[in-house]
Parts: sequence; structure tokens; C-alpha cells
Amino acid sequence: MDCYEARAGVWPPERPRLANRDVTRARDHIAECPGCREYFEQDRMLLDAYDRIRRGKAPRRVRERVFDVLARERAGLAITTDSAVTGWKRWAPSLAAAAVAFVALGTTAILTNRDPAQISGDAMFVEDYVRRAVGADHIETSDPGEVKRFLTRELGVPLAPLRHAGLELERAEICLLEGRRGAMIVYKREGEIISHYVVPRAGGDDRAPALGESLQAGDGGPSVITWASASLEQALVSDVPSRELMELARTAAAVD
Amino acid sequence: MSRTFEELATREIDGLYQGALFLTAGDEDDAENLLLDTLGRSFNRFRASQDVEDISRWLEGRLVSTFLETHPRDARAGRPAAPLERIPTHSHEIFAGLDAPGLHMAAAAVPWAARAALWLVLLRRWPYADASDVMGVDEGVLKDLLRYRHTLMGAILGGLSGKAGARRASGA
Repeated sequence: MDCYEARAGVWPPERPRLANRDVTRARDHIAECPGCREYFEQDRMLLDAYDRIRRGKAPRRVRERVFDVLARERAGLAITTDSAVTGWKRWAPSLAAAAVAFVALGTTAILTNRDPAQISGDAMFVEDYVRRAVGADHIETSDPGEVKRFLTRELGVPLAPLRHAGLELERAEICLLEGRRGAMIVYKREGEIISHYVVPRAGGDDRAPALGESLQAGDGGPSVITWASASLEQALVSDVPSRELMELARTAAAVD
Repeated sequence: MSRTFEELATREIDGLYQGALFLTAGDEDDAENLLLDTLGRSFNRFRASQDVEDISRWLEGRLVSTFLETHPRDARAGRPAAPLERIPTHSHEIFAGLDAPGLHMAAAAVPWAARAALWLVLLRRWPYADASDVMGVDEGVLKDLLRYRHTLMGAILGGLSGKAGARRASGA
């Protein structure tokens, strides 16, 4: 057995294998061969170095482009119901497709009730709800003061997180909604996640909390409630019943 | 519970991007395009496949097959280097200081197909049989390509030993 055969016979060296005759011969060769021992020592050093390098993050731009490509691929397919996919994940295809349609229409208007853009606008929030992985800037805390400082620092918005019986603050993270920088505050309520989107805006009419039209069908997907003040657009997205979500939104809007 | 492709793939983006950078020898634009191309093509394959057990491995294989499809296979330049006669005594220090640009610079010394073989086998620990299957070559060809390991190691140790030596000399 030569060096190449011996090395190939135990590759990858970390993997457990049955010590059959070939493996035993390969191990015997390596144990007695200085060249092979050096080979594996060098190999280990390279692997350690690569494991370190591999932990490097892909740039945010790359991550966003990946999601755009996947959304386009998804939108190019006939949407079918996949019974194996449950909960909000079942909504991802249609929501991503809706987001793409939003872009295709070139609609960048501020969300307004009864406007066709409203439907896509709701989907815009849900799109980010689905693609949270894009976000990199975040803070994990249950301290409302810390989240308020985070929002002030990152968005210039001194907004305090919602306070409501049974609502637990989990974290906050920066998100992008059609190129607009905003934040998503995540709460938990009886095991359900509630995402609270906050996007600064430069003027505009106030809007009272309203259930997203695109998602009023009540067929099991997440509900979206949106409202706005002159300086902020906000949305709540969750699988909790829309009635409860509306109650939260009204409380939040009253504080604004 | 089943997960969407998007959900599974987004967890792999960082590792795949680093792999794409190695394959493209650090060309960020090429790496980005390779990653996007791979994931775009994999989306439909994934829907069609019912037997993807290890998404991470599956995507690594898809990355390499996409890379090879988009690069000419006969683009070999030169021959594998001979094994280093003597490993530098401070090789531990060199590997400990190896960063992404240094590794990619070394990868540029290796032809494309060999880069793919080295990434799968050496850096991602694929068994020979699986790697040759993904690359569409027999194991003999794969072993030939893996001989470029000497070229890669030589470029790392030779290219960076000067830097490490300089650091030592300056006391940094």
C-alpha cells in the first residue's frame, strides 16, 4: 500500500469506520510513515484555519440578493398547497410572490387604505417577517429601556416597546422593508410570536389600526395590523387571533 | 416539521459564500454570482427532490457542480507542484495566521477543477466517492486533482511564511 492509497483509505480521518483489513493496513502504513503523519498534521492545521475562515459572514448585500433570487424563483412557480408545511411557513410562497409583485408594479407609495398598494404593503411587512434571517443588527433583551435605547440609536426613534398583560419582550432587530430601514420588535404571548414593525416616515396622515386586506380571509395565515402617525409606520404581524392583535395595536396607537 | 427551502438555505449562506470565495480564488463578484446561481438553480431541484437529508452537504455539492458547469473544465494551468521537501518549522504559526485573503491567494495557484476537488475533500471532508460523484469524474481523476494539494500548501506556506517571518523579525 502506498501513501496515496493509505490516505484515501482512511479519508475523512475524523469519520469512524469499521476496521476492516484495508483500513487496518492503511492505519499501519500511516503510523509508520513520517510523510503521511506530516500530511495529516498539516491537514489538521489547514482544516482548523478554514473552520475559522468559514465562520466569516456573507455581506448583508449578498444575503439580500439571495433572498431576492429565491423570491423570484418562488414567484415563478405555480403556488400549490403543501400539506407538509405548516403554520406561517405555508404562507411564505404567496407572501414572497406578493412582495415580488409589489416590486414589479413599481409601487413605492405610502400605505393607504383601499389603495391597491395596501395589499402589497401588508405583504411587504410579512415578507420581512418571513425573511428575518436577512437581519444582522439585533439586540436580545427583555428590558424595554434597552430596546428603546436601541431604537433611538439605530433609527432615531425613541419608541418604547409595547406593554400589555401577558406580552413578553424578546428582542429587537433592524430590518429592511423595500430598502427602508426599520426595526422589528419581537414579543411572545402564550407561546406565539408577535412581530412589531416600526418604520420611520417623513410626514403623512395618521392612520388608525386596520387589518391588512390581503390577509383577512381567515384561512390560517398570519394577521397583519397596520397604522401610522406622521413620523412612524407600524405593523403587528402574528399568528395570534386578529382580534387580539387589533387590541394590541389600538393600545399602541393610543400611546403614539 | 417540513421547512421551506428559503428557511433551510438562509442558514447555509455564510458557509456557502466562503466556499464560493475559495472556488473563485477570492473574486467577490464571481463568488456572489456563483452563490446566487447555485441557490436559484437549487430551489427547483429541492422542490423536485424528496430525499434531501442533509441540506448543507446537498448545497455544497450543488455549489461545486454549478461552479464546474460555469467554468471550463480544461482550464488547467501547469502541473501539480511536488510535495514540499521540508515543511517550514513555523508552519503552525503560518496556519494560525492564515486569513481568508491569504487562503484565496493560495487557491488562485490551483486550477479550477482541482480547487473544487480540494474544497470538497480537504476543506469540507467529503469522502472520495461522493466528491467524484458530484464532480462527475471517476476516483482516479479526483485523486489526480487532489495532487494539487501540494500546490495549495506550497502557496500557503511559501506565500505566507515571508509575512510570518517578517512579523517575527519585527517582534509583532
